[in-house]
Amino acid sequence: MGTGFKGMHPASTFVFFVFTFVFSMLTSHPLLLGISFFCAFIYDVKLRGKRVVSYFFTALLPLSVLIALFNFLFSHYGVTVLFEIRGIDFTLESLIYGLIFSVKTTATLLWLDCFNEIVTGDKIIYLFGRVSPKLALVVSMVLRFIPLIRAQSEDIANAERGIGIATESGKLRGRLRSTARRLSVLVSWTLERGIDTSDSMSARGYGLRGRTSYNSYVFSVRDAAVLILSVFATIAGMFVNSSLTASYNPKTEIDLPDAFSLVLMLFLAFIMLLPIITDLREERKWSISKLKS
Amino acid sequence: MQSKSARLTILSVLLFLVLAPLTLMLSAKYLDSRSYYIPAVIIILLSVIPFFVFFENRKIKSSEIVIVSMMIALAVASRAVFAFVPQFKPTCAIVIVTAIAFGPNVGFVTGSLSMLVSNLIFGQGMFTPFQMLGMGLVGFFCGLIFTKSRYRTDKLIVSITGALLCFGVYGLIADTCSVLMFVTDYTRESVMSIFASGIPYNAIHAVTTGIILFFINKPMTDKFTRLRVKYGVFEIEN
Repeated sequence: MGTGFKGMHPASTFVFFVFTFVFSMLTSHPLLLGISFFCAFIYDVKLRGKRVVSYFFTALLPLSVLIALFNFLFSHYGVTVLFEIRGIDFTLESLIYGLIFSVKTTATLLWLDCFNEIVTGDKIIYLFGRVSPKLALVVSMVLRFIPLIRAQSEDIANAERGIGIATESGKLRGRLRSTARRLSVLVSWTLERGIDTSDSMSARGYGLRGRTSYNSYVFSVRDAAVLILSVFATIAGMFVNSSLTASYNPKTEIDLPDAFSLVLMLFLAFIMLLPIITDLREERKWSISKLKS
Repeated sequence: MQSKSARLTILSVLLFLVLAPLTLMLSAKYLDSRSYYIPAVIIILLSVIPFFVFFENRKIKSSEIVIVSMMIALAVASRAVFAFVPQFKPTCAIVIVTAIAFGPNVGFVTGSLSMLVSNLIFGQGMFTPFQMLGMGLVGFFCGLIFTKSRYRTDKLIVSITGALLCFGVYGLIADTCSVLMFVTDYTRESVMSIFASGIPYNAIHAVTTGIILFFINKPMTDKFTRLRVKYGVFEIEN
């Protein structure tokens, strides 16, 4: 289950992340992107600690540079020409927009990293299962079968080693042949095991009418609040995005926020900080209750 | 029951036909930020829904559901079996074999769910919806072409078609995601350069898929036939 934001209802957390993705992908205003990037980064650091820093420097930063560079080399819109090579203008606008675009991608990927930490496989199955029970059944069975198949593959390899027919070194051809044999055994075993499972399911009454499914999530007032706030935030985000223009073609024009959009921006920042606020509040409560006892 | 399933499927197709152009129109009108990733994902989701609605509502034996799940699990887990040659990813080949045995609809579901589950384990990426559609379509087309064809046991034809579909359909759709991630100014050369940079990777993927298909098609078909004779599952239907 997890605590804090992770312990919330899957629907609320899912809608929250849909909001962050849509917002980060649609906006091109540097301030709005900055807010999104900042919130995603600190929440990811809160969730995954130091690993985020290495993820940022080994994967996200190179990707950003690549995107910005690609954009600078291949797009030639804009009026401010920085230099010219063989009649092709390299412009400031394409450089700036490339940087903006890479911040956008980085922010989305950071939110995705948080998403993978919070909305785990079981929650996705739960959300799916409400709409499509058969698909949810398939996905949850697949998730159970994968470790089973891996373990069986290891068993087969051990048996092959035991009778001396496993080829694990030497020529590629021999190794491929050995692997192909193992795969073949594995497939036969998998299919037989599948028949066993389905017999067991029928024996327990799968597919009969009137059977209900177990549900371990409670939808509380807090979850409803997060859900509604996320929906509002999506609308507010779209509104701010359309009222604050940030245009990079043909020349860079970035609106400064007026009072009203500043208020909306603060609201958006608050929503994006909501997960970390929830987590910190819960941790504080926990440490206080530990001190009391 | 059958008519309800048909009605729902037609409804979801109509939904796609109405909402997909609407998404395009709205994004062309209101999105000046040149990020077409979100409309693309919306259209992909809309196009995937009819297949899943059809799968959800068709009559399918519990043994067949389990076998499909097993094949998806095998498609995902088989990457680990071939771990010593990193380019060898049998996922696509196993999806194709399952599609040939089960028909286009199950082929689509197998392909797209194997991508979804693989990403559930290794972490969702921005590629997930594109991979789901791409691999699903590979399964769909293979089922459409081979399930009722007499060439389904022909090693060479199956493996060449599989490789071509893997290259043309899966590669193209997966690379479209890179285009949406990298390009901000959609000129012919910028889009083409992204697609071109994906060609070597896609070619390796397609060729290995073809090779694996060449070797596993016959044994897998035999194993499926054995199951059909022994347990009565795998009756081919649409």
